[in-house]
Amino acid sequence: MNHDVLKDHEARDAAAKSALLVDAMERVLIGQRELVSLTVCGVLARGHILLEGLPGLGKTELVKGLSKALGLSSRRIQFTPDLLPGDITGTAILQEQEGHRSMVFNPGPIFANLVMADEINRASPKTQSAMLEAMQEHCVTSMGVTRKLPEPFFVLATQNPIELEGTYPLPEAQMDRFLFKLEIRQGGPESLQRIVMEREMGISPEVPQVMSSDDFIQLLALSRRVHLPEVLAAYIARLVDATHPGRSKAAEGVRYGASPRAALAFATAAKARALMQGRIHAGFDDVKALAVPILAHRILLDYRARLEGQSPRDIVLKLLEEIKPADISSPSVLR
Amino acid sequence: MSNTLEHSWRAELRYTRRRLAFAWWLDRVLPAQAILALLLALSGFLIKGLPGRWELWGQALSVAGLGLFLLISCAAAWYARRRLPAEMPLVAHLDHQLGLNCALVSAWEGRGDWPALPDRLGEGRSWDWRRIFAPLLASAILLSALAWSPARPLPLFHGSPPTRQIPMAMQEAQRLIETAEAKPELDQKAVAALKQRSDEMLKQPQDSWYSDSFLEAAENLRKGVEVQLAQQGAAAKTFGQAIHSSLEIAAALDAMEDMPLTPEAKDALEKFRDKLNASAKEALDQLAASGLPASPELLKKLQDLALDKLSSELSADDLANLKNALQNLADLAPADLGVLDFDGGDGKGDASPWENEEGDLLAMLGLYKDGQDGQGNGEGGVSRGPGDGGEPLGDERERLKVQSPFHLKGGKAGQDPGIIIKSSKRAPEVDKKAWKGQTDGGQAVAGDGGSDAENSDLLPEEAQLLKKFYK
Repeated sequence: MNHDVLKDHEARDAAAKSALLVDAMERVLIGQRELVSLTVCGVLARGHILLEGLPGLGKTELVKGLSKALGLSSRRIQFTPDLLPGDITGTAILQEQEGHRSMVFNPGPIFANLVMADEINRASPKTQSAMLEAMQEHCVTSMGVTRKLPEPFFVLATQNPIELEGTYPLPEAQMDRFLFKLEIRQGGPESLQRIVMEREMGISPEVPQVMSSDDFIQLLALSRRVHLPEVLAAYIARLVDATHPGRSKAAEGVRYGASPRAALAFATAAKARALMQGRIHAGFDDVKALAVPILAHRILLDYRARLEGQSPRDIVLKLLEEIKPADISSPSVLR
Repeated sequence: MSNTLEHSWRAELRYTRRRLAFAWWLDRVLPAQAILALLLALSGFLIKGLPGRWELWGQALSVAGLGLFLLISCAAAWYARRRLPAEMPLVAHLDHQLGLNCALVSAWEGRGDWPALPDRLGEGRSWDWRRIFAPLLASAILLSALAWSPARPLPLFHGSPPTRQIPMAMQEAQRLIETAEAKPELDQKAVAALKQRSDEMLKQPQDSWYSDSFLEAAENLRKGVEVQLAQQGAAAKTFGQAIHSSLEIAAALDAMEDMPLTPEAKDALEKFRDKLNASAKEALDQLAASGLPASPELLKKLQDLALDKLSSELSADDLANLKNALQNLADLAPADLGVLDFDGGDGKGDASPWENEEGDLLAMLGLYKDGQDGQGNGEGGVSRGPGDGGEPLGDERERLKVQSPFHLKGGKAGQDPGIIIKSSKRAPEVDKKAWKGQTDGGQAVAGDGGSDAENSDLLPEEAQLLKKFYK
């Protein structure tokens, strides 16, 4: 853990750069500033993001725009049922060089800073699991050789909530590896009007590069230096713990709660969000704002709760109501 | 600037901590003291309901209540200290409450500057006065009610007051008054006055019944009633005897029919009648002048009565009624005076004051008449033909040298085998010192047990008859 104290001016500079990035990304996803902010926050937190939404909402453009804005390399993988793990990680091919034949590794599309895993739930579980090592370890192993992925490495996966026939829902273990799960919703008429006015069919929006990859890596380093108060860590811990059945009233109907990785995600994302806002410390508001994207896809509801129409988002909102940041009881004689 | 802010924040934290501690203390003390007040009030009401207990237990209850309150206060202080949050949670609480988003927490941890004091610093810490004053008010009402409720004092005696026995003199007086009430020949108004006097005396507190003054008054009442009853009885007896003697003389004179009286006899007869009238007059005065007079009806009859014209003025029924009234009244006379007996002949003495004179008069008159033929079959003789048998003493007249025996009017006279001149139901004087009721303080006076018993075999009448015989 980096204990260097983040300076205010550093935080302010980081906030300014983050704002530029968000502004640039909003040109891609018009009217979706909150989604863009969360995406940037997730990237700054070095997390992988799962985007869920209907086709045509700009998921692919978001990834492309992000790579352009950050000056990072990006690849797009279209997941299909016949996609093999080697198609992602790369394969060794026999190659003759100077009279010698040798197996030469041909890197797959995963060797990029920003990988877009489009419709990830359409690939087979075997292929999906190939993503596990890459997402968690930032490296791939092929032919017994482990190869490190370029840093920074992010996976932005998308999945379609409809047309579920022939899909393979992501296993809970793989879902847990995504820092955020963001739902892309269609904007209002104003957003659509702007899209119509500013876009043309078949032409990607121009996104300026707002910072170099080094600047971005520096931002990532600054994000780690954001102070996480002890009481906030305790709040995160209580909040994550409360997602488990029997640990809170709000967790009724939950079959499996969030893992410790969720707590780590909270801490990292809260720091990133604080940095985006120019603060040198994370706060309760950061945790509250990030609770749904972090926890919703990590909570598995039981059969009864699903029948009752509850959603993980509802559970998380109840948890925020129940678990107070500063848990001290107040006497009844004080209002 | 930063130091000033830090100082202000730390002062605010200390103030919040103290306030929170006091709030926790109040939070526990207020309901507990209300319950304590309720228990004290209930106990107090219970103790006050018991006679004389409040003086004993009231102070102890107050001390116990004060002690319990102190105990509760100490326990609440301990509880408040235990519930008091540590410094950092309190800072976090304040941070969150003020919406500082961990700026205060970070500054407290030495990361970053101290945030500026927000305007809404006091929010969330205002007192809920309703919750504070409601239990206090309830306690005050309960304890005030206890303080103002009266306590039952200790009675002088436990249980119901004892019923005192009415003094003996008073009991005797009541008995005598009841006796007087049973005599319609007495003036019932006077009897009622006596009874009222007796009742008023008994209305006095029972504690005073055996005081000297009460006993003396009761004894005076008893003596007064007793004496008055005895006097009325004696007067009635005298009057009755006078009537009886008058009837005897009249019967004797009637028996003489037209035989002239000797001058001596006339003189003796007049003197005797005067004496009878004087005695009757004296008795009548007594009957009228007493504190317990005879009834006005009886007095009027007696006043209108002429002794020498009894037979002519009174019918047989009136005379019988008068005799009964006097007889009833004469029963009140002391036993040593004998009883009034208009019938006579039962052997009990009823000697009148003029008995000797009457006997002398009858002897002096010397007016004897042969016995009339008896009615019915003779007894002790032989029937010698038709007609009733003669007087039983007819044959003895000459032998006894009696010139003219006469009949005394009496129901039993004709049935006796001999002439009964006079008899009475007078009882022998057995004991003149017989007990006559309580005289002083319940000290009994024992009689002499018949030491004065008369040893003579003859009754006085018999002795008198013998005396006349030997004359």
